[in-house]
Amino acid sequence: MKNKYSKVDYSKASLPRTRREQFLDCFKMNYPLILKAGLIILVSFLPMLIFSFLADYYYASLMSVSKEAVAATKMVYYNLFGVGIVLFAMVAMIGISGVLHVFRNLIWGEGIYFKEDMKDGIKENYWRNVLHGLVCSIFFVLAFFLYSIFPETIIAYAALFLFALIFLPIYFWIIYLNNTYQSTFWQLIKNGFYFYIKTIGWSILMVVITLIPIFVIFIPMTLIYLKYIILLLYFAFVFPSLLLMINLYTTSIFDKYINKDNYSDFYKRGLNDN
Amino acid sequence: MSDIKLKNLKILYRQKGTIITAIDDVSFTFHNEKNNVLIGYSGCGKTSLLNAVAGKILFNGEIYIGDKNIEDISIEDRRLAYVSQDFVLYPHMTIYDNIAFPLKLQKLPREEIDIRVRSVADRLDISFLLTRRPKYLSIGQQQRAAIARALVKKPDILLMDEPLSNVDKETGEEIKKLIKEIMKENKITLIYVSHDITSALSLADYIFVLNEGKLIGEYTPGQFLRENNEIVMSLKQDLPHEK
Repeated sequence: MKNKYSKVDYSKASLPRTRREQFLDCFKMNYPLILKAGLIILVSFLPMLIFSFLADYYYASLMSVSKEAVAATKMVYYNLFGVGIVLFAMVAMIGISGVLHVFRNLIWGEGIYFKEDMKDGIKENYWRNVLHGLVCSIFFVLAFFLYSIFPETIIAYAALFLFALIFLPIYFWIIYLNNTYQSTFWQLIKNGFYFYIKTIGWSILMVVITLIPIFVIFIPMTLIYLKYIILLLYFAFVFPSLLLMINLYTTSIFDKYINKDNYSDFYKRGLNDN
Repeated sequence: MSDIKLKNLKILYRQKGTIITAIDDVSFTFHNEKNNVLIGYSGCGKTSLLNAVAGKILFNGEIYIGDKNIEDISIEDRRLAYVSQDFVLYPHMTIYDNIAFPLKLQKLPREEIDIRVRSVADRLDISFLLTRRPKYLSIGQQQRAAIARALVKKPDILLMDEPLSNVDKETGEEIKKLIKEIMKENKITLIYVSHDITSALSLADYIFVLNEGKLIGEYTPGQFLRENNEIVMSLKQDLPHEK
């Protein structure tokens, strides 16, 4: 067996100079790693997907009984569904904490020791991610509660909108800050808010593209299996790529606002500085 | 580290029902912490001999590292590293992962692996290639990575089977110079197989000439150039002549 090779020496100038260049470069050089990360993400989201599938099945079976049965159980269903999603999100956060740490080392040009990096990510970041997630989820559950009391009204949608536009983006920043720096609980909230305001457009876009799976709710119940195949493929292939992309974006923002003056070791780490 | 002694070494192959003698009852010594170069025409048994020392093939006779029979020493304890002419790197791994691979198999701590990989990559001037995959590198760069993968194990004995045969002349010269420096710095015993006489002369402390499975002689480069033996004279014809 012989290796393929290039006819010319690979030059230092060809190394990525910006985080944007680094995104495609990561795929070129590390696609097996990204596939592995995808598998971990899928496994960590599997309990949530199974729960959601069973909930959908239950709701679909209710609809075949009577409209009164649906009306009576709708409020309970929505609240339980909301709580269930929060609980299973805590499980999914195991995979996310680990994978983000692997991606951080990848972006920094470190040697990747997948199992060890996963363990370190979970050990260092999981509980803080979950703690902040629980704070965020209080507002999520409130929004869902309002939706269940005033379903399909402007109040309900406003509550969900507020959650999606303010609390969720701040939480996203908290996760990525937590992945990079040692910070206290309040420092993370403060800095999360700061970066949200600094990059409000991109932050909202980040949330929107991450929440793309929500749009599968528009797939009718008769195609429930299609809905979950789409979700499985999303979490296996699309979501890890999004995590990497957002990781690179947030790292570029940290380089701009924090690292240059305060963390010179982290500044443009992993990039070609020549 | 010690000399490597071959005693009545015989290597046989079965090919299409026929027994072929690759090495025919040779006895000699590779010198400790020196560059020992094996030369000879294609099929003379150089690679077979190297593979026997590496533990890759069966043989008759004895091989000693110091006073210990090689068969009484486990592969890990022989402290050998091997670089072949095909220097196959794992295509799905980065250069970092390729170099780190033998150390990961030994389950060394991560920090130690990282220090050793970066140190050897620095020495071979391939630090900036650590995050690249092999197919994006030139042959010369891949060969440096393969040598790095061998050296990272901190071997006492380095076996190289025509590592520069696929590399252009200029790159070959650079790598040869690097090999000489590194062998000296790290006090490694080098056993280097080559069909190229110029390479042998520039690299060797000792030249071992093989022909049809037998040892013709052992020479220093100066002695090799003065030797009038028929086989040696025939090999010397490949040397560039002064106009």
